[in-house]
Amino acid sequence: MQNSHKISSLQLFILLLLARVMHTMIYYHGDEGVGLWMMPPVLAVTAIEAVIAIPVVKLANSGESVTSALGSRLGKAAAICYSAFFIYILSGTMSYFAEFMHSEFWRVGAPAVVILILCAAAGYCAYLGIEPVARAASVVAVAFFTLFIAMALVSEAGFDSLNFEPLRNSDAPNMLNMFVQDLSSSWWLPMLAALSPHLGGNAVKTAASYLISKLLLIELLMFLLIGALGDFVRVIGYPILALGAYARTDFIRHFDAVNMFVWSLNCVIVGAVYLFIASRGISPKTKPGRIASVVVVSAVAAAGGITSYYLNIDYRSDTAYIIKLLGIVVLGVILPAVCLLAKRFRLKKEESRCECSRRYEC
Amino acid sequence: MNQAENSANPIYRSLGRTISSLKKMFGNSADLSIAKLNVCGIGCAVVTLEGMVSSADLSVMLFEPLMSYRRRSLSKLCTLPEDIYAFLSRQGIFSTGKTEVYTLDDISDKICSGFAVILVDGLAKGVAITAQAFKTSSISEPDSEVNIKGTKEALTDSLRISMSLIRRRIKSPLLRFELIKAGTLSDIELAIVYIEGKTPERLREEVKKRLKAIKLELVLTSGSIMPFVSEDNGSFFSGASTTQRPDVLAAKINEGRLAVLIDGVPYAVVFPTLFTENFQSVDDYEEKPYYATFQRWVRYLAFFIAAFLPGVYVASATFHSEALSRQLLLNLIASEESTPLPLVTEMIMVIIMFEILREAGLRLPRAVGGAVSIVGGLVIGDAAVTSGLISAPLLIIIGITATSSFVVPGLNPQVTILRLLGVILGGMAGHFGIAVLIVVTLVNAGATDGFGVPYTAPLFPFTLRAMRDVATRVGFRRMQERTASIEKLNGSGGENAEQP
Repeated sequence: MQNSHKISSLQLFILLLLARVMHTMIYYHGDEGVGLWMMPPVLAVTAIEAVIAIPVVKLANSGESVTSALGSRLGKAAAICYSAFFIYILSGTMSYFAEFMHSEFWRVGAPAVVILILCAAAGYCAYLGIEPVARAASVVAVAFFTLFIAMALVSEAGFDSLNFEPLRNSDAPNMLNMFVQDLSSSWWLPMLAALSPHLGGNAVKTAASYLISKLLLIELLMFLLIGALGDFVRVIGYPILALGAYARTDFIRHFDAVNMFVWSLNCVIVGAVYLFIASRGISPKTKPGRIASVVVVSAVAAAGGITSYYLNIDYRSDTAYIIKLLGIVVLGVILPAVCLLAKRFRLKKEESRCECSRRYEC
Repeated sequence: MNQAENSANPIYRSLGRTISSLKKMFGNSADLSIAKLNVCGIGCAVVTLEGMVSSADLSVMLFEPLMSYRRRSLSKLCTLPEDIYAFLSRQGIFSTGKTEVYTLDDISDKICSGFAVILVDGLAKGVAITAQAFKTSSISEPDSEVNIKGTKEALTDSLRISMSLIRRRIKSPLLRFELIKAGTLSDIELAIVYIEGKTPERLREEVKKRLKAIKLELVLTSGSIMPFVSEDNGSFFSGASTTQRPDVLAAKINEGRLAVLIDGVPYAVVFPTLFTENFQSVDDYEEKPYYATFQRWVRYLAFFIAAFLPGVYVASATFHSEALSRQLLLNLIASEESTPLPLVTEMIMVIIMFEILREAGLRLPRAVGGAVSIVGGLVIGDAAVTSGLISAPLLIIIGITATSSFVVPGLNPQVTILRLLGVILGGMAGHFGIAVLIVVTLVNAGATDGFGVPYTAPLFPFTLRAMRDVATRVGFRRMQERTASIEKLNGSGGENAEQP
């Protein structure tokens, strides 16, 4: 009876999906407006993701990771790159979550306190390992599912078909922006690459179920937002939270607080996954080393989040998109592809050596 | 090689010297009893500890045979010490347990366990015979796991009686008891209980290894072995559980678990254990499945109410009043306006008061316990509301919480701490604080493993087959098709499960 300390493909799928849900909820702001122009880019990006995910999926299924395939020196350098990328992503997530809390639930606490609490909780969870985090993530996923169902059942929002305006030529810039925004949110690829050594299941299953679920979920959310809120979203902060505000029962008047509760659960889980990846990049194998690395990356992420919040660093600017895209392409596509090619080259070399020795014996 | 040669404290050939050494070893302890006899001119001694042996048994088993031996030996010219020893150690005494001892330490071990040791002058060895008769508590009702229709027998302080209670329920040669000793000062007997072929060998060996490595001077409680055996260091929950009921223990070891009985402790420690087991009761299996399922869900609900209701109340009333319906909000405002303290302080004060009353009720004699409830419930509660110190809704919340906390007694320590933390965090950061608390608790529980079996199984990692007896109560027809096995809950998502 030995625990493998690996996560199943279903657990990894849940982690990837929760990360994506978190991103959609806090990064998407109402002032961008809604329209049918949002939907085709998501479909296109999903198709592109399906193609560019091939190297990382193949590498994950081969049982190798980027850091082990690249050897000790290059592997270490790659691990540091993964750490840096996920600390950057986490800083943005923390900053935007603090912004969300501050604008919608300002009485809860100062943004810096919110970020510090989140980083401390996520750091502790990351220290306990990816397996417990993945186990808890399944509960959070169920909580999300229950929340959506509850909101759908008690929602008072009316569905107006007039909100679905046909696509026009003038929507092209919006579509391009949406395309870049969605593509730069594909950090599930480096996540999959970094978590592949901890995956005990099939990466193809994980990637396929993630892409299908993400497409359906995002398109459904957009459909609901367009139909139920329309242009009204421009005057409200967070459209998905606003959908919750429409829901009411005799006992609960607004679902915003319930929404925030589930978002907070998710934020700790997603933060823990990012911190786990970031800390594993620099951590030695000893227990004190692991503690130290988690403390260091948590502190750096907290500092990054607080700085980003107070300096108003925009994680949806062109520069941010470039940084994210660069990280996604290098860490999630190029490095896995290089590792796969190197592995294939190594195998071919070994095969030819075997053939030579066999000929020599003959 | 003579065993005594290896020992630092051998038994001396001279009986007098052995006796004086024993007296010195026990520091002339008042309960050390040494009865000197003279058999055919040769000095003998029976060493016992008072209260540990039955003098009636000893008289039947030892003294009467010795007298008859003496009568028979009168015809002989002389009798040697070896002859007496041969008589004692072979055919002469009717005892179920008879062992030879060679050192003073052996004598000490045996008499402390209720044996009587017979020494013969001129021989550097003795015979230990079982004549245990120390008083133990009788078999009583399991007061910490009360049920309506199940057995009324509980494990007792005596290891042997507890073993017999389990044997009576599993009448199979596959049920095994392995005895080992723990404690550096006092060798306390522990029995490892399992069913051959059901409990994995690695689990047995690992538990045995860890028990043997315990360096405590005394092992007097079940809690003293749990940290050494279970792998839940730093965990909020425990990967091991205790039970007082032999029927529950039998069911658990039948699922491939392992139990440890401690001599002098009326509880068995069971490894590994699951979170969901806290919500199962023997009575569930006496009722119809639909009703047992309903009862289980009531227990789940009670757990969440007991742990989080005060925190959610404080968070909602302090930070998220917009979530509450208008009527409820107006009622709350009206009642809170008349109290002088902030809601969080008020709640913490009442929770601590409740814990004090609970503790007093537990420790006081039962006759006085009623007075505590009257003083606590009626006098303090009523007076606090009437004087305007505490609001009535808050007292209702605490009443519901306290009642719910009695439903799942196995998780009482965790529930109490979660309740207090929930109030503090909910009072500081609203639902955000409670969310952080819940997620940290979830991950902590997810990290708790008992010999490879996740504490949170079969909830997460999810195992559908095992979930049938968690979300519902499985019917006996289905149960007879396949016995549940703890080993099958191993691994993540079932993919890495070790096949039986």
